[in-house]
Amino acid sequence: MNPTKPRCNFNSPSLFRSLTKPKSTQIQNINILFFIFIYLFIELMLSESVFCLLTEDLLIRILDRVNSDRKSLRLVCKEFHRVESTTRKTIRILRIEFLLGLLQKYCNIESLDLSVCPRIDDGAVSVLLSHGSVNWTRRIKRLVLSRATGLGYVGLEMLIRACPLLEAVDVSHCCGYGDREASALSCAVRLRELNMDKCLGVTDIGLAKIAVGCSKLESLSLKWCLEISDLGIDLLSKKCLELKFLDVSYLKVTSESLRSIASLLKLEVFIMVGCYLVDDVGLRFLEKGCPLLKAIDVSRCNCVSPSGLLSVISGHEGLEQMDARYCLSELSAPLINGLKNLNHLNIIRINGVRVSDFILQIIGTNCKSLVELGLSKCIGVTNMGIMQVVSGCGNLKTLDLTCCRSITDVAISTIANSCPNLACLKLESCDMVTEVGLYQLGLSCLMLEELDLTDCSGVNDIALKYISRCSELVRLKLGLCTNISDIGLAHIACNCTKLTELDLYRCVRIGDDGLAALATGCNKLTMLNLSYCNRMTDTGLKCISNLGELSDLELRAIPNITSIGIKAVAINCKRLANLDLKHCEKINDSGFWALAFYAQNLLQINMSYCNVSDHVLCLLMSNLKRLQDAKLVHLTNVTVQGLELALRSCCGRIKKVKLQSSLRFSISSEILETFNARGCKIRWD
Amino acid sequence: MAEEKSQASSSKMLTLKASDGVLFEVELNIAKEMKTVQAYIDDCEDIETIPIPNVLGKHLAIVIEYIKKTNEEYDAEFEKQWNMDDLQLLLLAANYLNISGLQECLCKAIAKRIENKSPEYVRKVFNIENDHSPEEEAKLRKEYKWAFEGVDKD
Repeated sequence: MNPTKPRCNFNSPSLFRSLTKPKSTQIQNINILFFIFIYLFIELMLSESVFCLLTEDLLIRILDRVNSDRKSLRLVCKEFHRVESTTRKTIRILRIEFLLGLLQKYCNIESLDLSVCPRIDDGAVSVLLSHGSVNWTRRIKRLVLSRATGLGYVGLEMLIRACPLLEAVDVSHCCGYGDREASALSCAVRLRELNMDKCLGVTDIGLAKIAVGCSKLESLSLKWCLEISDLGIDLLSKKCLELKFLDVSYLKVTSESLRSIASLLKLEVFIMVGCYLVDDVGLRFLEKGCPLLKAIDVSRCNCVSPSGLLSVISGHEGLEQMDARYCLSELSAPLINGLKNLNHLNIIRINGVRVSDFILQIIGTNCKSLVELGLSKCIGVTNMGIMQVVSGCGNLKTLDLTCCRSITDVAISTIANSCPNLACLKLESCDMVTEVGLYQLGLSCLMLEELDLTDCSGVNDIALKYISRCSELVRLKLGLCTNISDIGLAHIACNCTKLTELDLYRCVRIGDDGLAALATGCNKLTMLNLSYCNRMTDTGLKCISNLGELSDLELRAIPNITSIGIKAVAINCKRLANLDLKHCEKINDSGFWALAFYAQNLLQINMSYCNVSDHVLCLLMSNLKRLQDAKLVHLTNVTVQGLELALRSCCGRIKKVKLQSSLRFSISSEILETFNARGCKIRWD
Repeated sequence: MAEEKSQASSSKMLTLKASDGVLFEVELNIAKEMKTVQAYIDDCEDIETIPIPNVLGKHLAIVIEYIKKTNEEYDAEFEKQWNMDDLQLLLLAANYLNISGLQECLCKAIAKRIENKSPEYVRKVFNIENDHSPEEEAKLRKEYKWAFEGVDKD
């Protein structure tokens, strides 16, 4: 008797055949039953062999907990593929060739991201929606169409009408969008979140349509929609009463808008960066309004004074987040007194303001739940002030002391000892900080994830040795730290294995040895800046090419690297998306050819002042299907005809190109017009 | 098989019988963590021995130990001791016995071991055969590399 024959009675002719052609779900379930039976049978035989397949619901739970991208698991077997396909909820499509096929397979998608998919336009959407069954639209709740500049109001409306459950849309940076597109968006009746940052053409009329059509709106971002005025905001405040999050940054609205906004009873987060027409009168409206306000951002509002900010604070003692960057010159005494009542304040950012030890002491004594403090470019920050604020605020996780030049090692030691949970410390340009202070940091702040020591000339190799004790470090900036060398870098490479971002801009003593250590120790690196590290050669670059996760690489003005190094990077760094080779004059055609052939994930490239020839440039621009931003200034070996051909070959896909201004009148106007029509911006240097 | 009849129900002992005949005496409150056993007790109150036909003795021992000791530290160390086969069998046991905490812990453990690994490794680990045809596999590989990314959950 064949021990694999199940007890159940099937009509299928032979079990073997049903194994090789499991087309229907029923046969899939039969397969699972069959496998479980095998497992039980073998258990009875008390055998140690484990030919066991977990049941489908267990498999779903396991796949749900896989933290990395699960798409490779689809290849394992058909069962995994099916489970993965039915449980996948979010997808970001990279290439339009696969769009239709993928959407037809993944019918339970809730979030669709087309922002990096080239050539999304009305025609593409029309094809998508007319092709056979459109099951994939039925569950979509979130659409990300940021920078999808090719999509017009016709396609947008089609897409929105096809997704009945749509709750969140992001059309930010679609700069050509205007009232017609706003009208299309207003068709989404269930819309709760809308991001229209930089939709430059939207006016009060478009905003009115959205306000009337999407009355359930809870989150709206209108940054840079410069045509919107008080009228539009007023209508919005009357119709969208559920609003919790509103961003009107850089709009030309006046204090009258704030009168309307104050009536939004559910508003929790209000951002008005750069609203230079709003003054204290407007903020006074907010004092009695928006009872649930938790966060306010009045950064860069030139007409706001401390008394205006005080009005907001007085009315909202539950305030959790206060942002007043670069708008006040100093904090008045009443305002400082007002801070005493804000016991729930988690985040204070007062970049650019004049502070004093007294003010910092008040903050330290009263704002005990402070988690983030931003004092970037503040005048009057001294060691004593910092010591007073950190000894009161032991829960601090983020501290920004950029350009607080009076800070020395004494303050750093106090910070280290008082704030054990510190996760982010920014000390750019604090050049009196040396290894003495950083020693304490490395001893006490073991949760540190982000450290910015740009332009800190006191940082040397010993300092790096001490910092490397912070093994949770993820982002490290050492730009312009000219005193560090390969020895220091080796310490970091040895211990900071979780590092993903490293900035070594102009660290001229770094050479190939340091990079070799880095490539072995920090294999999770995704962003690496080696611009102007002129000791680096191809050997170093070959070591860098071993970093499989690398996506952003900046190699400006490195005189000794050639095509050999670039070829290694192109072949091995498969995730490379952003590459800067400006002024790398020794790289010739063979290097760029390798990029054109292998670096298929490139999104942005800067080849200005490089030695590439006509035909390789054309190859590059036509082969790299994901390229969206290319800087091609002063390519001395490229002729005007060659450049035109290259531009033609990527037209429709690419979104931004930078060329030298002397070519403005040499390039045919027809190309310039086509680019404009397809939603691509040309910038002239 | 001795049963202590005492007033406090927490010191009442139950006997669980694994599929290979091994017997385990456990306190009632520990046995109640296993929802399947709980259902058994609810149905017939005076039961002395409860059969657990789907779970081997050695795995039942591990499960009982987990329930007794579970806390954050123990969980973190727990999953490191077992190989993949054991993890899967433990998960099936936890599923049958309906112990949500243990299921969660094991699902996470298995997920951690297969994330970022190649399909070949996953196949080996689960002992699965690749039933994609060569053409299907080639098409899937192409899609996998170039077509899309999952977006990380917040």
